[in-house]
Amino acid sequence: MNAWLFLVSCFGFLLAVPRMERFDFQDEENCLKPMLAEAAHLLWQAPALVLFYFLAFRFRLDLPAYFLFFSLFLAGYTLARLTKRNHIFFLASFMTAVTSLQASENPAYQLGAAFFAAFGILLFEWLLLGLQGMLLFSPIPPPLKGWPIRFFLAALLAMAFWRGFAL
Amino acid sequence: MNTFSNRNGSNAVSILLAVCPALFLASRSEHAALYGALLCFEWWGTVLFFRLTRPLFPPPLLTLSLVLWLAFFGEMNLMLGMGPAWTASLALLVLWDHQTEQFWKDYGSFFFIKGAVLGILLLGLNAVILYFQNIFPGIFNHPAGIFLTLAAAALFLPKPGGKTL
Repeated sequence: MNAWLFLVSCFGFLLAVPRMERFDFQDEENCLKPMLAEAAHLLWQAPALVLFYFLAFRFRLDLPAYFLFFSLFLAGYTLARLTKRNHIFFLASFMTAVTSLQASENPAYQLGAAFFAAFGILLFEWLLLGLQGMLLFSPIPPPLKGWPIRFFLAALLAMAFWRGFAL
Repeated sequence: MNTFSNRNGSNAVSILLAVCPALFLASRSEHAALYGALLCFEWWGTVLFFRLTRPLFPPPLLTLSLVLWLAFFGEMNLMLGMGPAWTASLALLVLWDHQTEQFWKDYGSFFFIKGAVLGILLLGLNAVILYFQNIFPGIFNHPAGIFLTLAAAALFLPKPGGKTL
């Protein structure tokens, strides 16, 4: 169960990092729309990778495990390149698919887990950015400004996600 | 020069240089020095590896090679009984740097000198990790522990331009 928490919090944080400078939920063109587009892509690409595994390798159980990783890697890379996503996004969708596939033998569970883990990642990212925005006019001690407060917020969020949202 | 002001990087580094040995002693780990040396080599090796392979591969393949590289060192860390916490935090740091591309702008030139400085910085982070692990056993079984450690390490980072948040 801890793997979900690591997956959600680490990739949620990494996806939020490029948006942390001057992110504004009110700014539709520059901030909100690109983020929602990325969210939509993550929500379909992670289950799509699981689906790719079903179609390609479901009945070839004699294949070695690293072949699964490599083929999923290539498929995820191709999807991310075709949709013009960055490599952190690609790594997030790839790791979500791999973790979902390893979590259970049940295909329905695997597909659902991929979707909801991707949603968890996005929820973590949105909450982190929202909390950062809420803190914009708060009296933060000067040594904590910048990265320390961001990491601290991420730690608090990770604690909030513990056995809560993280499956 | 006031060593303990936090206006620029060199002062922050000097603070770290002053704090790290103390943290190392405080960590009370049997193999702290060995871990430190391994960490320096690991960080240097990672930076050198990426410096050399970056022109050859597109970023996703570079990321895969990073994962493999970290897995290799993760195994080594596990053999030494360190656990995956360090590898996870290193991955976070390197990926963050790699993501923002600022890393290559900052540390592209004077590679070996700045690599050494980065090694020392990461040494400090390792010391913090060991220290926290001794105080709170099992803290790195949770991502919040990693984030809190990174927050503690980020307290020592310089803040150029007076950022508001």
